[in-house]
Amino acid sequence: MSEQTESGPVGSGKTSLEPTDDVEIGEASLQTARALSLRARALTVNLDFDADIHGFGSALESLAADEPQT
Amino acid sequence: MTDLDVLKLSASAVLNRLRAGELSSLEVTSAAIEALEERGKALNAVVEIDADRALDAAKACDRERTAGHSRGLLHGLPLAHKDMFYRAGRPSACGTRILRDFVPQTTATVLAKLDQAGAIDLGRLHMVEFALGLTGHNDITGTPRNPWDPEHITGGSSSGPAATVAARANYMTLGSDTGGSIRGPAACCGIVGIKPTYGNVSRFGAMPLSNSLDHIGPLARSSQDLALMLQTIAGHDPADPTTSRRTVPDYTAVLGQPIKGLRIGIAAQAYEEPIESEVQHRCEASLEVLRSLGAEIVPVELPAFEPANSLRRLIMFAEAASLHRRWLQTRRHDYNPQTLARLEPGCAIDGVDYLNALRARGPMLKDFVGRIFDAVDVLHTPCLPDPVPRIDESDTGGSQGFVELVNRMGYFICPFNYLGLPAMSVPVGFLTNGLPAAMQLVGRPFDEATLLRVAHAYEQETGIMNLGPED
Repeated sequence: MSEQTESGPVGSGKTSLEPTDDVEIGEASLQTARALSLRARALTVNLDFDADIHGFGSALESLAADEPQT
Repeated sequence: MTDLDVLKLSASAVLNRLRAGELSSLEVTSAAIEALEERGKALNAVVEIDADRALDAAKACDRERTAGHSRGLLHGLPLAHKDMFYRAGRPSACGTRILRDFVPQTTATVLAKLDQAGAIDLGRLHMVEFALGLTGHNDITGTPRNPWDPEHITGGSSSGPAATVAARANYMTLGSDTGGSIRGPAACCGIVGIKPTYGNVSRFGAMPLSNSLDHIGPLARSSQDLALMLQTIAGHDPADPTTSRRTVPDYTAVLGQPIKGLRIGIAAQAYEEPIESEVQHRCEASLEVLRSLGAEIVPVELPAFEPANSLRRLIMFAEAASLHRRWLQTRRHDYNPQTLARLEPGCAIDGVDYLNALRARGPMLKDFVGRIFDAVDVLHTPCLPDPVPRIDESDTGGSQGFVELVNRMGYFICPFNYLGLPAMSVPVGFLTNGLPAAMQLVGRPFDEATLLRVAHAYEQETGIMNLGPED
């Protein structure tokens, strides 16, 4: 076995060039995934160009109350 | 006092007696071990009790107290937790045969914080396989039983934890909540549970399910005990870069403050999902109690919950599939059918859709907080839309019926995993089937204190936290 095809943990430098077996996915699961993807596309179609995944954490911090409500 | 009497005390009351020297940690720990052996195991809620280690730790706590030393807030209090919080050198099977022999090399930050506060770790409790399911069913380890009626579900995925606390076999406990897994079981078992703000409690060393949605939090019999445990586990952790650097407030300090003038929001319009009439009536009655205490009940125009629910499911499926892909290829037949049915779709999720679902989170959170929390201090909703079902009538394997059941159970609670807001389940009484119902309180980011304050006021007025299955 050559070094290039030897398999190991990610980051070990020993990554396989061979494709792995696909996960077997039933028709019901494919339909679920398709329905969720279509719904997500409809919900995010007008998403701002500059909305990024890190905006969530900073939004939580910025929207927090300074003190518990009194 | 009998063992049951000792276990009927709240965690706060036991800690007071330990401090006063009226009880020893050895007495309390022995009683808790016996309760878990008897009531906990009868409910199929217990994986393993580490009795020898716990008793040694209890003796050490008693010696330290006699010498005038206390480790912290929970000195000498025995607790058992969901079998997904790693302790170095101890197995953590996570409700699955795939990890039956898994022995972690690290200790979860939340367990380390409980250790530092003086809590004694009693052992591991049953859970839904890989924390992926709201009903509590687990064909591999057996399904835990609800202490109010063993024919009914405990809810999941923190099934064993909720059952043992409700059965007075455990004072309080740790759970995880990726799609309602703290609040659902708390509601089914008639106890309180809080999913803190995303970033308030470290997830380091807890079994991951979906990194963007996983939350760790406590379940207990009262908001006072819940506040005590949240106080212990909250705060920044360098090992979990998603944790906030905010100072942890004193959650117990606000308990007992009046709620007069506090604005509690309710939906101005009908929800997309119908609420069963008995559940609806109990939740309306809880609002009357809060109104009688001086809270102002304010109708608010709630955004639809369906978008957050749909985007949450997509993120959870994709992230869980990423973690499980290797085992889906090599150990497919070792999964429960329910688990498999919820892991498979994630392998077919489009990467762009996944990232857009994450990108939409910040804007949707800003919109929700602006619409709701500029007008009210706390949002009130039902927790589960239906009475707690029986185990047999909700055991639908991996069929479409199971997916629909879980989606309906999670309708009110799952949006707040996507939005990351603090949300708490509080029991509001019992239905004609003898099982509890619950309200959900939701707050601004990092305002868990106000939720605990409202829940505490409600409990003090109704006394509901004193009711147990044996009463």
